[in-house]
Amino acid sequence: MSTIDALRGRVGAATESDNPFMALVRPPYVLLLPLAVLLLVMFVGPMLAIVVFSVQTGNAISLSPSMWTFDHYAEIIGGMASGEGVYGDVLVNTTAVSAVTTVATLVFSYPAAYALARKIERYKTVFLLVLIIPLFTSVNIRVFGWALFLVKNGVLDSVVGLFGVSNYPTMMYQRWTIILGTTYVYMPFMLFPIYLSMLSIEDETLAAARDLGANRWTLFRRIILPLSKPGVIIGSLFVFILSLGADVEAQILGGGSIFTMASNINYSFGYSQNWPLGSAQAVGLLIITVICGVIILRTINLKEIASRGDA
Amino acid sequence: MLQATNLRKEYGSLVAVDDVDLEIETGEFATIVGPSGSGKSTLLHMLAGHLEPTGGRITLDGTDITDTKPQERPTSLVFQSWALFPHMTVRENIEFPIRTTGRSVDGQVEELLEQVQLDPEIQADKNVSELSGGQRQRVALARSLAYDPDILLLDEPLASLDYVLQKQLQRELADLNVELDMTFVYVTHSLEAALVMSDKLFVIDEGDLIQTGPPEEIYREPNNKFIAEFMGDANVFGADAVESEPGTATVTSDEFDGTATVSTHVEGDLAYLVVRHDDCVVEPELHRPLGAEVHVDNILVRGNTVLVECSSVSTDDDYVAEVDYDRFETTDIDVGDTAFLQWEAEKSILVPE
Repeated sequence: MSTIDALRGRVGAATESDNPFMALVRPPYVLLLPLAVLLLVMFVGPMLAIVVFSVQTGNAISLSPSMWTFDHYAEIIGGMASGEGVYGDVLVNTTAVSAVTTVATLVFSYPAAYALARKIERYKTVFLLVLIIPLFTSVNIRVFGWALFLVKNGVLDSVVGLFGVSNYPTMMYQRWTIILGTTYVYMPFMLFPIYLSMLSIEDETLAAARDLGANRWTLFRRIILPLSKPGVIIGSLFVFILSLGADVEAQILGGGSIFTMASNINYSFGYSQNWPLGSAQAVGLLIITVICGVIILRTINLKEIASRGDA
Repeated sequence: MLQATNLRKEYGSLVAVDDVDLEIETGEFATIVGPSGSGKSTLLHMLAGHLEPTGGRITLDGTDITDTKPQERPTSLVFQSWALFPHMTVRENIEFPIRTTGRSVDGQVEELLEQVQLDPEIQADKNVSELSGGQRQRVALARSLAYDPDILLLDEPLASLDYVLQKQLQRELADLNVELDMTFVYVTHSLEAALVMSDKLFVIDEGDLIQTGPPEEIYREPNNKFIAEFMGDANVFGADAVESEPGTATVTSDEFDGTATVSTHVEGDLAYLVVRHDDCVVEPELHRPLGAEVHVDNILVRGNTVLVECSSVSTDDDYVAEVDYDRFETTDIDVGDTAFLQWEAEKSILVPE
């Protein structure tokens, strides 16, 4: 090969490497391509369709509508702002379910995650398996399990009946019953991020704190709590967002009488066949989810987490 | 004075530290030195209170601190990994022990950073993840000093730094020990670090404390073959040593030529003759009382010295001589030649197994 040919080759290579689109069809980026296409088709596409549907009138939905309206948004926002009607209930129920579920899962998970990550040595794998196994079961089955337990003449009635208690208010179809279900179903999504953040705390970091005079409370407040904060934030994000979209729990444990945002979207798309209104609610839920995600992720110092173990 | 008596640590059937006794005077720079897995870090962590001894006692100025929690001991440990708090700035790291002990932080951070050769204006408000290895080591040291301990314990804190920085920080640590008049207990597997910094060495192997004393004494008068080899690059020959009069022995061997009377410092079956690499020369003819005929296998120039790697003509054992470059040049010895590795009789060290 002549010198000029070699230089031409180098110039060509430089031009290709400068073009980011060319880089995308070469390894390693090309390995991401199937997943990227799948996400584009299965996630981004339907999302765009829902946005388009949400500004259409009536039930005449089209990807290229002739008329546009923001009436559905106005109806939803107006209802929520007034706190009255269906949307007022939806706002209260959804906020209550999501917030209480997040706090409840945090309260139950934090000490358990601490014990599993830092204290328990024997049977640790068994405990972790016990916590993971329910995730291999369908949400519907687990929630139906709770329904069978709480329903009139169900397992709970039989058990308390043995003690002569029979006349007590029904446990089903209450807001707190939905919260019970979401707390149970989404507990692992809080527990495992906290567990992993606890595991990422180096033993020597804790030993150093003790060595430098920290008592148990100082150790917890100044070291363990801040270093496990990313797990708490990510777990809270997971649980809050998943609870916002909790439909099965509302349908089964709420008996269709307690409307949350997710169950109301389901209702609009299904029973009332008002797809534009359902789409507008779905877009609202998506916006809330994105805002929560952005706010929460901005509070995590990813650089600090990445540097753990180096310091 | 820090004193440990019959200090022992067992992990099941494994004895990590085997009934060790040690005494460290106030203000002394003591180094516990030994190969990896010898139990030296275990010993240090028991002194710090992070490991509970299986047996034995630890006293400080006569007060028993064996069962005292780490946070209540007047000791501070600089960890091998430095263990800086990753979510805090340099300032917050250093303020941590000051606050836990209820003292005022006014001006302390700046003073401590200057003490460890860091510029407070540039470094104090950086997150620790932004620092280089050497800077982190200095911050870890400053943080431990901020605890205002009576005894500073250091667990190989320089191990992961590059060689030049290690040498610089060894010097600085030795200076700091004098400047603060604080007791330092340093753990290392590095002979050089031990020799450069220490007032007193504790050599430990397989959990046993096998020799204690000033570095120069241990280097020149090792108690056995292991210490002799560990305490510096050395050639070891099997030897027949017969005591000629108290403190001397006449030594002969199948592994080298010559007979000489050599002074001895230990008793027992003196089965090995040890001679340091830098006490040997390689010349075409045998001019000294003791020496061995060797094949020259390799010649490595190290600046103003030369490492001559050779193997015995009779036994094929490998030996090394570290000789002056200019002097070696005059011998015209080259790789593949046969020559004599030799040394003065007084450079011989006789040791038992």
